[in-house]
Amino acid sequence: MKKLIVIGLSFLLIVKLSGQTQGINYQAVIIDKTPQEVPGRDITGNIIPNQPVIMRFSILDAAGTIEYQEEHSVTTDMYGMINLVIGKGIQTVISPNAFSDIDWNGTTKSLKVDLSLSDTDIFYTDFSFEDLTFVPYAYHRNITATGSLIVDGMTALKSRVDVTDGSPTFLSGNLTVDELTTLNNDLTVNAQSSLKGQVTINPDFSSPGNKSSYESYPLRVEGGNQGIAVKIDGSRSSENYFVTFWDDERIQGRIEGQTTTELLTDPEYIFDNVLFANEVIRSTVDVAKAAAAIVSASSSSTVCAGLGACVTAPVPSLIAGAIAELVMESANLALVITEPILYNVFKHTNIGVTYQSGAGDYAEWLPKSDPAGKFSPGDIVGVKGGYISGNTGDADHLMVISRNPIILGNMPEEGKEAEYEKVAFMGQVPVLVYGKVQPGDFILPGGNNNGAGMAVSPDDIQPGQYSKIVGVAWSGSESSLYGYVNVVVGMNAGYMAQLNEKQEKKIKEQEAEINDLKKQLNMMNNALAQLVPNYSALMESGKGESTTVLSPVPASAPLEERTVVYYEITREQILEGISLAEKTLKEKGVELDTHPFFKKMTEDPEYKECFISDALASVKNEMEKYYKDDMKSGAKVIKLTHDAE
Amino acid sequence: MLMRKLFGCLIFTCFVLTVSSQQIYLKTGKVLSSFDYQNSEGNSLSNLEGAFLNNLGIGARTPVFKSPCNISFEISNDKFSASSSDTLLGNYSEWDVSFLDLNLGVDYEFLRPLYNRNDPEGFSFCLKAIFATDFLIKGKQRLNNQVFDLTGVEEFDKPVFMVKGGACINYYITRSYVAFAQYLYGRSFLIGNYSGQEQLRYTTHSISIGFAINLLIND
Repeated sequence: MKKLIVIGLSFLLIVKLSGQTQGINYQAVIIDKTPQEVPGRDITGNIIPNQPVIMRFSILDAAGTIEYQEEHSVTTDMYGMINLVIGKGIQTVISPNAFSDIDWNGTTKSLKVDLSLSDTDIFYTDFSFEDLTFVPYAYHRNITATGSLIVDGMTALKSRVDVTDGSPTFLSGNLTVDELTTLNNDLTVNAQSSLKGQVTINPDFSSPGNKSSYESYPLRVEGGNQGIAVKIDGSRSSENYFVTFWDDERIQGRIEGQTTTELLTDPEYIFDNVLFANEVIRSTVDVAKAAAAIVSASSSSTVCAGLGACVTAPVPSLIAGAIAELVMESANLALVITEPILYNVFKHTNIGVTYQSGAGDYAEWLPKSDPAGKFSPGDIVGVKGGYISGNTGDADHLMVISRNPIILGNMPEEGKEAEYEKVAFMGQVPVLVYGKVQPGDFILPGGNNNGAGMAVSPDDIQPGQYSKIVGVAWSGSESSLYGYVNVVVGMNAGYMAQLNEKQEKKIKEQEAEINDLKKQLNMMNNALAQLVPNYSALMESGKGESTTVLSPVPASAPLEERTVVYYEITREQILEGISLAEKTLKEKGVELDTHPFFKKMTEDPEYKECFISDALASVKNEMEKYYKDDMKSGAKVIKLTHDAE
Repeated sequence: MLMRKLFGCLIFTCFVLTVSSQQIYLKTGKVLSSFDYQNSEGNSLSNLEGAFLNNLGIGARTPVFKSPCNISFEISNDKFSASSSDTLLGNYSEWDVSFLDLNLGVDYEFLRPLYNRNDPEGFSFCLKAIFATDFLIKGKQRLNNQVFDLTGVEEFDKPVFMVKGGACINYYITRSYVAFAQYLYGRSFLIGNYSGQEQLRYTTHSISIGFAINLLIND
């Protein structure tokens, strides 16, 4: 059979991806295209049995380029059939890839089959050329694929999908899950996550765990420079709870929204501003007092007996010291004025959320002077050198052991909590008190160093007890024995301001009494000067520094006349006072470079000139008041200006 | 062209013999036919089997110048059949054809009884050669499970020329009646218009008996 024009009658392809076989099953019956010659009509469609042949398979891409080629030496069976696996043959030298490297990417692939009917004198003829197509319908009970399975189209799986052997699953696109999702192991998300449903973290911790252990916390946020951001829809108000803290009973605290209106009606905010206002008033008074002190220092009052009055000059160092005091009080006033401004700017700038809690105080851990010491919440303790003890007698500060602070700072090292106690710094805290208590009473240590306090009415409080005030009771107790009352601590400045006002009032009353006494004393001196010779010289010899006679008193002046000389304060004296104030504050460790008053004085010459003018005007005003008072009292008043000098 | 001339001569001779013959005869018998076939690769058919089929013929015979030589013209119906199978490929073929057979023959008769004798009975023997032309009347070919009409098929659409040779024995019953029996081996010329080595011939073995009547009896 020399005519080797042969054509395949049929072939069957089965893609089989099972077990150790990676390839395509190929079966074909080789039919002799040349008919069998017999008398009459020739017989066509004859098989070629028992014929050694060489099959050459080429897999071509859509462009007709060979992606893979192999050869099989095979012998047809008695029915002219061959049965082999494409992929198990001998790869030809022109094949660019191995069979396993063929990219079954869904594009058109063709199978070209060439046949040589001789395995010795190889001459290939075209056998078939067919597109490799997908099986329209395939029903499988089990599919075992050891290689890659690439599906370019949709895949509908109507039963569960198991990815076993710890094999990872990678999805480069979106994953949509309509039903519940259960993850039995760690979840790592390397990109942003958007969870639109409620998220509950309910770890299966068998025990509460060590609260100081990082591993005991169900939610941990780490990495980056920021922590947790909570954003609500729209603008915030007190109706928005950013974070709420629950226990099994109820809400124990929350961080909620706050608006400007809510801030302005916040009792704490109002209270703080009242305190600031008090401070401003007090500092303003202090400045006025300092100005008056300058007038006092820059004036001289002398009673001269005999032929005339004597005039003595004020002591320059006293004037400079008074001016320095004025500068420092002015600096303090600037601070006091600046502080509420900054406070309000801060509050309004940072308005947004407020933290609310059932607890009422801010506390810090403070070390015990005796680590074995035992304290109970509500005990009054003394703080000395930063250590707390039950001794309140010589303590620097008097504070209260907190029961349940809203914020607790200065956390001690792990395992050393027993050496510390939570001490309330500010806010409301229950305090152990002996005896009856009325709201508004000052709470002071009981004096027995047993942690209990006592209540003192504001009317009964003595200046010597000011330093012993622990706080002010905001609730009362009718018990004559021990009981707990709610005491606000850390806000003594306001109450001290009130007490200062009282003291101020008392001081003014006493000043008035002293002035009256001075007048009576002057009158007595005048009387004694008339009765006792050389009385004036004796008095002058006892005054020390103020002995320089600047100018003689006119002889026409009455002997009993009191002469008061007012010296005008000059700009240079103010500058000298400023320098003295800076020197004094530096010696006290105050950083003038960061002090708002002195910093502005240095950087803003206009402000400095304005301050000097204001100081001169203030002193002048005070001087005018004293001048008028002296004029009314009948004293001889002499004003010496710098020019007159 | 040569075959056409021969065919023309045959027709003419038959006509002459028919009108001038001294003996007519009728014969019947069996013909064992077979193909002598060789394909283009020079291979013969394997498992080729012939078959015995009947034939029937009528003819005229006349001596040539009162010599022992006779020429004859015969028209017969010959049926050929053969079958073949290929065990390798699993093919089966069978042929059944029926021919109109025109025979122009010559025979040499010896030991013939003399006519002038009173007892005309007796045997004579003869050797016979025939040139025959076969025309297909009908034919069919079975290939596996299919049957094809051979009319118009290349090998069978043209007259088949054959030569036959054999021997016969005559028995003169009377001076007018003769019974005879004969055996003829026939072989055709190449059939069809093949190229290469492919060629086809018929071979026949025919055994016939017949009855002849002498129309002209000379003393």
